[in-house]
Amino acid sequence: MKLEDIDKQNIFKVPDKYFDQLPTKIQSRINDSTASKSTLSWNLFLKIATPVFALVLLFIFIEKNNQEPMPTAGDYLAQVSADDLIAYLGDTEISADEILEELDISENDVDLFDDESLLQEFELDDMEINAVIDEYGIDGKVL
Amino acid sequence: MNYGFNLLVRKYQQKIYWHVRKMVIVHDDADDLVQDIFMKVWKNIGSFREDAQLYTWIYRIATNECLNFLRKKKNKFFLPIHDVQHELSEKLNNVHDIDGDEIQLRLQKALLKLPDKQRIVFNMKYFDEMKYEEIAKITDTSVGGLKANYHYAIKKIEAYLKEN
Repeated sequence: MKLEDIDKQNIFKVPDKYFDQLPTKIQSRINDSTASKSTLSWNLFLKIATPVFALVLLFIFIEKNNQEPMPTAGDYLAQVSADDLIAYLGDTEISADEILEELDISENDVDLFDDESLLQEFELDDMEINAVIDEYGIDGKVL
Repeated sequence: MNYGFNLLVRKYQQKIYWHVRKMVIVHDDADDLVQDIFMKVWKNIGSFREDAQLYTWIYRIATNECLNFLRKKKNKFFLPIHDVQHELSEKLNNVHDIDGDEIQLRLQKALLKLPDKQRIVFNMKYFDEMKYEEIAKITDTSVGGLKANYHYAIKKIEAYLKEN
């Protein structure tokens, strides 16, 4: 038997009004899928967002507790030795008067300056005085 | 589902249903598959390239879904190919929603002897009277390969009809 001897027929049948109802069934499935997808998305968002939010809060809390105060200019200055400070001030053009104006000197500090023993090291012999006069070109009359 | 997609379903539902039904034989399976196919069309309509014809693209999805369904069916029950063919052949005898004479049933049983891909090509060419070029686009096969495939399918069917 040849294939061409057989009539082309569709032998399958469908239930009544099947093709009238099929678009509605498909529409219903699409609507369900869209609804479940949005629920799924929201649940997924919560699952991810909650631990991330907790981590951010934890980070802020730790940062706040561990934060050290910013060092002040005074703190930095305290780390410099007195000798370095004197050497620095010697190289600058700040006058002794300007330094004294900036200092907060109490009466006790003034008493210290009255202590003659402190001035002993400033006693110069003639040779040292002459060297100073030569260096700074000071007129002998001033002294 | 918007109005445009509803029109699309109404336009193609019968062609796609019969394409699927001839492959899976049972109405309930075909019904599930057709719904799955249009769900896929709905989800992927954005990626549809306008240079391709819409019906070719939908047919392609339908063809892949049918072949996947039959492959899963074989894997699910750990059945060799001939057992699934036998199962579908038995359903041709049992299902109440088949209306054909003896020769038509014999033709359907002969078709079930073909490999799934060969059967789907035969259906598109013989029943749907599609051009080889169209089938080539759907199955991603060369026209020459399809012609050879169809030729071998006819030989096998006629041999079966002669023996039975």
